[in-house]
Amino acid sequence: MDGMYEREQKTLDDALAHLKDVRSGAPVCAELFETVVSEYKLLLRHQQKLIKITDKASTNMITGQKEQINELKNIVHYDVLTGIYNRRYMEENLRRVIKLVSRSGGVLSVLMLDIDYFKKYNDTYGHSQGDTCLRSVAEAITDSLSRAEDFAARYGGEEFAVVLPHADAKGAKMIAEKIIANINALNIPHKKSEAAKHVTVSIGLTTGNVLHGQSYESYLKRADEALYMSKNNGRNQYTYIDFV
Amino acid sequence: MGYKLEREKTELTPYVLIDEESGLMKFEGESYHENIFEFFKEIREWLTEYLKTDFDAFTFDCELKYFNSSTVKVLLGMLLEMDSCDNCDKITVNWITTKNNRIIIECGEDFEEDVENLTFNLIAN
Repeated sequence: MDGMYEREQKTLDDALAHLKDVRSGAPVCAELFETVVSEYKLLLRHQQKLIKITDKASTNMITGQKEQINELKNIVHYDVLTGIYNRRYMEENLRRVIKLVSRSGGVLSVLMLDIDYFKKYNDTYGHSQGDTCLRSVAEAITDSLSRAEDFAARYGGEEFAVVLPHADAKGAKMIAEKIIANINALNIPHKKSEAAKHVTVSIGLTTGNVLHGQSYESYLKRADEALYMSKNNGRNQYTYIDFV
Repeated sequence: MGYKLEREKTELTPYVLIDEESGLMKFEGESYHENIFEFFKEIREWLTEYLKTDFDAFTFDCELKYFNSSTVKVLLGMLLEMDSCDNCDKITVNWITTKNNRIIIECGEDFEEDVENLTFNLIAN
C-alpha cells in the first residue's frame, strides 16, 4: 500500500506544515493555500473517477461470473452427446415434479425408452455412426413433445426417459405412439435388428396419481418393468402399466 | 538495448509486455491481486523514467477484462503521467475489449475523459 497514496500524502503533509508555520506566527500564504485547494480538487476528481470505473469493473466481473455459472449449469444439466437433459438433471427435476404435482393432486406419466438391438447396431456400423443414431433418436423424442412442461433425458447408454407432468394415461399413450412413429419415420437402416429393417425403440409407460412422499425411483422402476414387457413382446412397441 | 520485460499472466495478474526498443507496453488479462500496486511497481518506475526520454513513439495496449480498484488507480496514474509528459503527443493508448462488452467500453470512455493530449483509441474487436 506504501506509495499508492504518495501524492495524497504529500498534499496533506504540505498543508499540515503550513498550518504549523501559521500557528508559530508566520503569515498565511494565500498562494500555498490555493495550491493545496486545487490539488485537493484534482485528487477528489480522481477519486470520484476511480470509484466510478471500479463500480463498472465490479459489475462486469459479476456479470462474467454469472455467465460462467450458467455455462457450468449447462454442462451439469445436459448430455454432451445428444444435447438433451442428462440423467442427473432428469432425476432432480422428476423429484421436483412429484412434489409439485402431489400438491394439486394431479397425475404423472413416465416413459422409459430403449433403442432396440443398439449393441448390434454399434458393432455393425461403428461407434461414430452409433453416436449419430443416438442424436437422431434424441431429437425425434423431443420433437414428439409439445407441452413446455414435458421433458426428455438421456438416461444412460441407449436408454432415454420422458417425463410428462399432468398427463393421463390416454395422453401419455398418444405421446408413446408418436415417438414410435417418429423414430420409424427416421428410417435409419439397421440390418442386424430382429424387430425391423431400421432402428426402432421399445417403450415402457406408467401413469399414476401423484401422492406426497412417492419416490421418483418408483416411477422409473415401474416404467422400466413396462419396458421389459415391450422387449419380451417383440420390441418396436410400447406397453402401459398402471403405477401402483 | 532498451528495457524489456515480459510476465506471463496468472489467475490474478495480467500478461505484461514492455519493449522499450519498439516503444510498446501491453497489459492483457485479469488484474485483481490484492497487492497489485506492488506488482506494477517496477513498471511504474520504468515508465516514469521512460517518459522523460526523447522517444519517437510509444504505444500502450491495455486489454484488461477484470480488474480491481487498485488497478484502476495504477492505470489512472499512468495515463495522467503520460498525458502530462513533454512527449505526450507521441503517445497512443489503445483500450481494447470485445464488442459485446459494453461495461468495459464505458470504463475506457471514463479514462478517456481525463486525458487531453495523448491519442486514446477505444477498440472493440
